[in-house]
Amino acid sequence: MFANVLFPLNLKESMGNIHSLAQSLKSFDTQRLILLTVLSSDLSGKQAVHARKKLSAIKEELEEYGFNIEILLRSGHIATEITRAASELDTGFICMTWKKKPFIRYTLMGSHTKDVIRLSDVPIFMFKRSLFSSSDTRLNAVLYATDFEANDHTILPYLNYDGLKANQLIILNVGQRAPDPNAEQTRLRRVYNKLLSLKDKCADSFDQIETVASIGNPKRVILREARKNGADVIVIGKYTDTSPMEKVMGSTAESIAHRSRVSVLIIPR
Amino acid sequence: MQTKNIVFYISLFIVAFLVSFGIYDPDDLYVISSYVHKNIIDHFGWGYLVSVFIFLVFSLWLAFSRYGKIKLGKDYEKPQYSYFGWLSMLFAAGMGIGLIFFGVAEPFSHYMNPPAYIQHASGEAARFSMQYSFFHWGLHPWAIYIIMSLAIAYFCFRRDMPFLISSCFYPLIGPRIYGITGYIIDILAVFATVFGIATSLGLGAMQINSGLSEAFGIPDTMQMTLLIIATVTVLFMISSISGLDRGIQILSKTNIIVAIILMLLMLVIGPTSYILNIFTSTVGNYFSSLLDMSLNTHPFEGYRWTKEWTLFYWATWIAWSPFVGLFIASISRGRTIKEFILVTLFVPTVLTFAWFSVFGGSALHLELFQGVEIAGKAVENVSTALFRVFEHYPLSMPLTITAVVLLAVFFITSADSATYVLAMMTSRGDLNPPMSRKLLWGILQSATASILLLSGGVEALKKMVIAAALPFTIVMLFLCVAILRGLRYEVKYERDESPGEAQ
Repeated sequence: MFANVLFPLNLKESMGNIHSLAQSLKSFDTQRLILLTVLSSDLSGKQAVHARKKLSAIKEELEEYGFNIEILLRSGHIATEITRAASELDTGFICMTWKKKPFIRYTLMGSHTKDVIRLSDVPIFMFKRSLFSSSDTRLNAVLYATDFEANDHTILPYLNYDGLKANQLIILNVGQRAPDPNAEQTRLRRVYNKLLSLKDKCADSFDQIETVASIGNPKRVILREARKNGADVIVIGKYTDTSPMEKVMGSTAESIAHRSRVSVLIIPR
Repeated sequence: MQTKNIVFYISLFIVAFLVSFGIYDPDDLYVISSYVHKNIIDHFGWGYLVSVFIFLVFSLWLAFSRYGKIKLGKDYEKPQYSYFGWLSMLFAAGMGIGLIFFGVAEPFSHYMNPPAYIQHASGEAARFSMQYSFFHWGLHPWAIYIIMSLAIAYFCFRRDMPFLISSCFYPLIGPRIYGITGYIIDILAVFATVFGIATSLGLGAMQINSGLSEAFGIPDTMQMTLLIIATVTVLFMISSISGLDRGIQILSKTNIIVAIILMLLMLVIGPTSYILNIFTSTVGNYFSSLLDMSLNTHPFEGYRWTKEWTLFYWATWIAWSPFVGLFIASISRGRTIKEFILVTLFVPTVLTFAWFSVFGGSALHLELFQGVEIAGKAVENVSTALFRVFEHYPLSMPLTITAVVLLAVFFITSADSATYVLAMMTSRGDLNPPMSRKLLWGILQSATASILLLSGGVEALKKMVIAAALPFTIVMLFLCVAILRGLRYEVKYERDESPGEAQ
């Protein structure tokens, strides 16, 4: 599932960041890496020539990791071209680096990354910082935020994937309180049963699995739990049929990807 | 479970303290309450308009949503009262005294003192006066009551929570409803109820006195007003002792019949076609201008009138909502949400429109077409307004006596239901509160009204009640969120019958 990776670049990324990402992809057993740049102008001008040069230089730098690297240049709407390329090339996921934008600029001008998350039907790995130190081969912790909808069976293979080895898995459910104490007890029993069921399904892949049932705003609680437990990666599902509020304000996946300090793996339904 | 006697003792202390303050230094109490009132209305008045509009829109949306079929009680429960009994009690609790008092006084007040951009005592002022009377007593106040009563009925009858306003906040704050946060909400509700009712009783007693003075030449004095309060207190205590099922129901049904007869009588002996014209055209004006009236604070033409009337009303209805909401919830068990909202919203509204058309219309007809200059005098002494109108129509004495009886019975039903609600709120939400507590609150209410009338503190109390409406507005906005959370949870997790869904 992590064998073919599409890596969109705007050619402003630092090489340090690109190397850190490449190291992480190596641990995921990635074999084929497609470097993609989407230009606003057509593919015959000076901008395209410059882009090809830069991509070739990056390709040379990354050859040491043993990837089969391809270069791809497209023009048009950035997010659309990225998601189209991912679909056409049958990639396992899209990996993107994240650069924090000032709030006003982010609010007024939006974000290509946010658009890619919204449009993509392919998993997205939002890389924020190096997953491993030089001596480690395992992540400290992976946090999986679930709401027990149909996404669980799609996401479980990713959690159990060897490349995502971690010392600890935290399975987190963020729900809303029931209308009365009796209903709340019933809800908690149901949640704990489902968490235990998920725990059983992941038992072979992790030494330590912790289940957490919480109440509140998912966008805040997930980040808080990730910080509290020292998670290196947050795994979260993404839905296409969002509520009107989410359509305006952005989905939970978009918000987590934007605000998280650690890398985020977003799996569409 | 936390003891809710804390609510009883703290509420009692606050009431006693404020009444003592009102007796000892009514001038200072007036100054303080005026200052608080002025600042709240000046700076947050727009918030009242927006909030009440939200309540109306939310109520209508809820009625026609998928949640409309949910019952306010268990699925097998049937409504406890017949439609007629239910509507009678709704109407008596929600409007009652006020409608008799302001049925003529309000249209005349707006006619004589419209906003600065309308010429006073003109045709335009008359049209405006009827339209805004409809506005202040129409859909919006009932939307406020619906939010409060719907929340209470849903959480208490369907989710088995204690019959308290704080119970409705369980989806938002969980077990903290049993702690300080819950106490604060319930104490605020008791405070608003006691002083809201005391103000209303004071005004009602004054109007009964005016009516008796008009009809029988009984002196319109403070002593007579106090005697009226004492007499009506005994009567509503008797009604209270007989229980909700018998006392209030019988009185409310009687009252609604008497009110309709009075209204029909006035329709026949008054300017019938003029009244029907007023009803038709004002309903048209009302609905076509509903959005504008709901949200327009008139910042370009002058804000003063809106502050003095619309905001005053919205704050008053919100201050009344704990009492009316709890009472309406207690009599609406077994109704579906859709049925509850649509009937509570539209039936009393139509009756109110009819009432204003008949009495307000008859009054304006005298002023505009019969050359009887009574508007000015009626506005000077609003408690006599209705009776001054009766003087100029046939059967004036029977009409006056009927109106006085109506006032007295509405007084009794309001005080009786308020007594019941206060006793319930301070008895851990017990739907059958102890008789001793009902008697205590009944006497306290009447004593508060009497003492404050004597000391001149009623105006100060009115302003304080309106100031208390601001935190309650925020409480009610959160109630909307709590209702929605509760209903969504129920539909998603408890009504879904798909296999494998844990119940």
